Amino acid sequence: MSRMPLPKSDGAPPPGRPLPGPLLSSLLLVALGAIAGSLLRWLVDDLAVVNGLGAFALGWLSATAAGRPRAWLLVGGVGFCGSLTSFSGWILELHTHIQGSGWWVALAWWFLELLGGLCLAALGMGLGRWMQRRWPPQTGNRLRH
Amino acid sequence: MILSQALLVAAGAVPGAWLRFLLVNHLADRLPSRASGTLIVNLLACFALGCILPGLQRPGVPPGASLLLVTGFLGSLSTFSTLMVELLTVRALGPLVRLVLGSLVGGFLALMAGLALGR
Repeated sequence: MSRMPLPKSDGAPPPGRPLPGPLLSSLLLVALGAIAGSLLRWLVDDLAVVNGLGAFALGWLSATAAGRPRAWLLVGGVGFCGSLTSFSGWILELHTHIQGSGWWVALAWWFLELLGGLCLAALGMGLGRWMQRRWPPQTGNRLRH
Repeated sequence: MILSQALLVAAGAVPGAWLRFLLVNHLADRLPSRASGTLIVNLLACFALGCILPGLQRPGVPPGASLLLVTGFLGSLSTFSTLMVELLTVRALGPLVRLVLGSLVGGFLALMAGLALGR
């Protein structure tokens, strides 16, 4: 099975970084999440809403990832949340607001979305940590950290 | 109609997410933090968005092109949620301010540079 290129030195990834795993199945899992995430972003058609939702969901997913199959983060995190939320759209909104309502309103809006995203991600993380303690995952196919 | 539009969005989203996944993993070994890899991918998406937006507004361009390239590909290539979670894991003020300002100023400049080039 083909694998992601690992650091040349000893083949061991640096600590704190999840193993990419077999490349082909990783790409398949990421694609599954990306299709669902991008379609939801397109259907909702409100970037502030999907960005907030995605920040909350990724906070929750990252706090509950330990002890779960790697699909947890590949489908849910990299694929779904990554595709549900958009940074380029956020910057394009900034550009549109600057032209429509001026620099200060545009910057205030940008920072409001930043603060909202941070709060929602922290909320998701807190909920995930609590759930992880309350209902710890079954042992089995564990994520390596 | 809505089905073919959805297909265009999904067809753009899959390579966008793949490119982000591969680039961030590739850059993670070469940069001081994983967050800088995410930032680079985000800035790249802003630059590309600026490059193609003027072209998409020209007459004769099929409406599906924007769904495929902007909503699908660039929307999936860039990510907001990862940036938020990475900002929460930064424990020092310096890197935090750098990441926020890099996203704001860098993203805006990348978009403007792309727009200038695309016109």
